[in-house]
Amino acid sequence: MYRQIRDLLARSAALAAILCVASAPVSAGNAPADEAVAEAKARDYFSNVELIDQDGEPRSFYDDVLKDNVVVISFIFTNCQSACPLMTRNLTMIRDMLREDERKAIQFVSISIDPLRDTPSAMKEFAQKHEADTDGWLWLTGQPDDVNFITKRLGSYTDDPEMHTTTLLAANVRTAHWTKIEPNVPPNGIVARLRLLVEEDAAP
Amino acid sequence: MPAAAPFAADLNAAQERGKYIYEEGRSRGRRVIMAKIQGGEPTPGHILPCINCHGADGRGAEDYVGVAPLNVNWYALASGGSHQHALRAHSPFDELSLARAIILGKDPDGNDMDKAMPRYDMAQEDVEDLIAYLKVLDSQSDPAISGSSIGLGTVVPTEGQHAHLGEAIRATIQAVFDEVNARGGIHGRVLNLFVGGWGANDNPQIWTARDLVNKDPVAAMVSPYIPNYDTELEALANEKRMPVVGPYTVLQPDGTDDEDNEFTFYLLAGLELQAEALVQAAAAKTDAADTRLAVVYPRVKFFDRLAAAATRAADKLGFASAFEQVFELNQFPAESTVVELRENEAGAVLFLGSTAELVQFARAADAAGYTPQLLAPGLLAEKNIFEVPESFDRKVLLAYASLPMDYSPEGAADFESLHEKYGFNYDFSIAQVNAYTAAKVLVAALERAGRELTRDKLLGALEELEEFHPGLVPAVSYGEDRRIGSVGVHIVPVDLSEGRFTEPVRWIVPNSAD
Repeated sequence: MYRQIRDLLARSAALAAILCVASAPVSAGNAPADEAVAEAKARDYFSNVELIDQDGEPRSFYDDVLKDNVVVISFIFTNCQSACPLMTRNLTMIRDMLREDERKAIQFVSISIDPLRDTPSAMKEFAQKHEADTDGWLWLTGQPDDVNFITKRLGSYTDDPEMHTTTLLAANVRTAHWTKIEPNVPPNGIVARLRLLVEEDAAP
Repeated sequence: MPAAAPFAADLNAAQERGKYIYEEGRSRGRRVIMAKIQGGEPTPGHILPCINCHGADGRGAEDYVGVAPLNVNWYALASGGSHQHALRAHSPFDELSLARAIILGKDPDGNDMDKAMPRYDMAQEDVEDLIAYLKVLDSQSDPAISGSSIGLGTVVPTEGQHAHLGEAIRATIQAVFDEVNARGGIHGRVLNLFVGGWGANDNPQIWTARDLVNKDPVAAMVSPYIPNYDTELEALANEKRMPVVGPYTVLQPDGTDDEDNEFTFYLLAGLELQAEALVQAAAAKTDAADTRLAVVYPRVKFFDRLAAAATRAADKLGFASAFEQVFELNQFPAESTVVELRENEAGAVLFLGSTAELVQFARAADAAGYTPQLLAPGLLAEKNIFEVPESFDRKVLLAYASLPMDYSPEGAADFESLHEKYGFNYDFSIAQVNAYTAAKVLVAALERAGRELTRDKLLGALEELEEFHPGLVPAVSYGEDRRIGSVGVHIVPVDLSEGRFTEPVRWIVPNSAD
């Protein structure tokens, strides 16, 4: 238990550091040129490494997954029998609680932290089992090096899947507003946070 | 579990409903099932179905995130013996006490059960169905083994540049199976081959193996070719309790330290054993106590393991010393390596690069008047081995796990007849010999396992193979702690004046008295 807590703490610290790096340059200004620069930096940081979705289709991480989206990112592995199913269940509840326009505005993303065992069809089966194989929800796996690169960039890398983070990441990528949501936040609290992120986008 | 359908018919209605509860955590009667874990909030049963922890076979696991889900087969629950906890023993279960355990978390003696076991709030009818299923769980047949057939799998490249190699492997296995099936199969069951194909994209090839065993009813795997994923394949085999016979690889460990591998049966000595045998052969040719061994190898995954094995062997055989010289792949610096090895007075060199690199090394060494013994696995040696300068005549030793001299007359005739009948080509003869041998070994084990076949019986039958002659390679033997069929290695000297392999070929069994 102590180890788990220590690791969670270590990851939170790493994540905080990363979020500073990611958001600082982007929030500098609003001019289109600034936005283009900011986007280039974000693309550079998150990269366009190709992951594979639950239908076996390649997805460039920045351009196909993040760009211009409000995203909710969770980290799972399909052999996980406690935290991941519960977390996924929470996410489907949250998704159901959103209004349809909000749901359409939010890209749900679940990334495997055990990519060698999580084949795209295993991801699909897991998603189907949790009634979460749906439009607007990407279940991503890929080459271990690629997946690890992305999870590291998101501050959620672990070499021991059993010890993985259950923290969710939520972001409005366009406004470069990234937040992390601890798993004990009740679903309606998460819904409220997501609403704020979506509304940020609508603001003039 | 998509493969559940074929034997669901064997269950009566109550057992079938119980199976649904066990696997899905839901009730066919649409009654609510809730699970509560560690005193937390109740959660729907389908989030925590029994199968998650106790497994499809109900046998549980030794350790899963710090808890040990137990064997919940009826024979284990109802007998006193097999259902023991680390800190707590209790009387055997009956229907009533088991129902109480599932709902209230109390063992038959009224003690609280482990907190990790959820308490299930479910209707009486559902508990009864679930228990009805637990009673027959252990007699559930393997979806891959029916009354009339056995599903077996292989994984090979079917697209891309290696597709022809994959086809050679597949066709060879299929030919052996066709011959068996033409004679009526094994104990009344025909052998069905399921093929997982990779090569269409860059996805990890081990995915193909996982998808194959998840999708198709495969009781065992034969001669899969999944380069660079040997360890992951071993893990998959253990996880599915599925014997894997004869993976097409040369990176199998030397068999001395592989307690992680239970279900994978390699055919022949891999590079690790070959490296050890070469060092042993060198020791026999020189005065080991005066000889320093250099191990030269490219920085490639697993090769450090080969070097370590050779160094260990040198140490054991009393070499003066052993050291490693690593180079970047495809950037072998011949000249500087010669200088380095010469300065360190290496009298024997185990060379794990390509033949072209070996030739470069030998030429540079020859120019410097330095002619140590050269040791190399034959697999890495190609025809241009004869370009090594004559000053190394009979100083080059090559290692082979198997040679054409191992063909038995019957084996050669049988393979030849398959060749004729099925139109094999010989472009991939090593792969084909591997596939042929793996299929023969598997067939032999299936014959010995008998009609009452299970995966565990097949595992036992493989372990009991002793001096079995597959026909084209040395005899293979397995055992409880043995997962490499033939551990010996042929050591062949190279005659550089005549440009041919020469005598005497020695047969070395590393780690034995020899």
